[in-house]
Amino acid sequence: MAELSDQMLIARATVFGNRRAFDTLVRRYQSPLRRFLMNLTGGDNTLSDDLAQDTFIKAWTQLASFKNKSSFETWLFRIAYNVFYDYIRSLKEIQSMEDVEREVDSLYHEYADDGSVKSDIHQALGMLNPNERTCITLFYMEDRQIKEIADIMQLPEGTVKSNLSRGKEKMTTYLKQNGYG
Amino acid sequence: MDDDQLIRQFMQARREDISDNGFSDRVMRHIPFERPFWTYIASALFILTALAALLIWFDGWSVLCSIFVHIYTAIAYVKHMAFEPLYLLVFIALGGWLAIEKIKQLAYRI
Repeated sequence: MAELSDQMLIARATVFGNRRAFDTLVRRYQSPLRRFLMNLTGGDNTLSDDLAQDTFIKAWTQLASFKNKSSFETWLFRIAYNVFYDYIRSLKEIQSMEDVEREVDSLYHEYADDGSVKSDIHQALGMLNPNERTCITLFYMEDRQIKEIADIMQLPEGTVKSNLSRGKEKMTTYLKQNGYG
Repeated sequence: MDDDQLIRQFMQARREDISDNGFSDRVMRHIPFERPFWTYIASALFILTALAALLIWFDGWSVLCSIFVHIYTAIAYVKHMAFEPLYLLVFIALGGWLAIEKIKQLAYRI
């Protein structure tokens, strides 16, 4: 079962509701998905795992809508990204996109700036706004192409490129100032 | 080292594989046990396609025809005996039920 392709496993899960096939997919992608969510939440382990679990449950119930236009991993990341933003919107009555971004930032810093967390990566990513942070994480850590990032974040490729460029500039400054360069 | 390399090196050095530690089992425990409605439709479509393929590509029609001829001959033969139509109905119902169960088993095994 472990050697089967994603397409084969998805077909089994879709056509026959085969849970074992879906279990293989969960095991295959749990690590990159949880890492991605960890970087969105500023390193909050518990929250990331809860969101990752919600992502997989959603993926199971919506598996029929997977059209093979992107890879299964990209599709999962898109669900995870939406699950994360749905969670943010559920926290408070949020009216505008600015409110959402403010809330994402506050959640990120609440955890990343906590004295108990010693991770320098979350300090560095904390210099960026939420969109820049997601673009940088997907591009440099998860090795996603610009087209895939646009697909995950549902943004035009041009917007992804400008977020990447701004994020890169801020990150470079931060890294050089802190002795990494 | 250019800026791009600097960031890539920094990020890649902090990229770690997260061990499962029971996460997948927990997810699978929360996956609804009932099959989503569309999986039944997908199964039905799959079985119909498989049957169609069997009939079209593997000369299933002639096999079916010969079965029907045999059944007809058998019926014609038993007509001369004390034949009860009820027996035939019971036979067809039982055979149909067994066939459906077998197809279901095969489908779940896949």
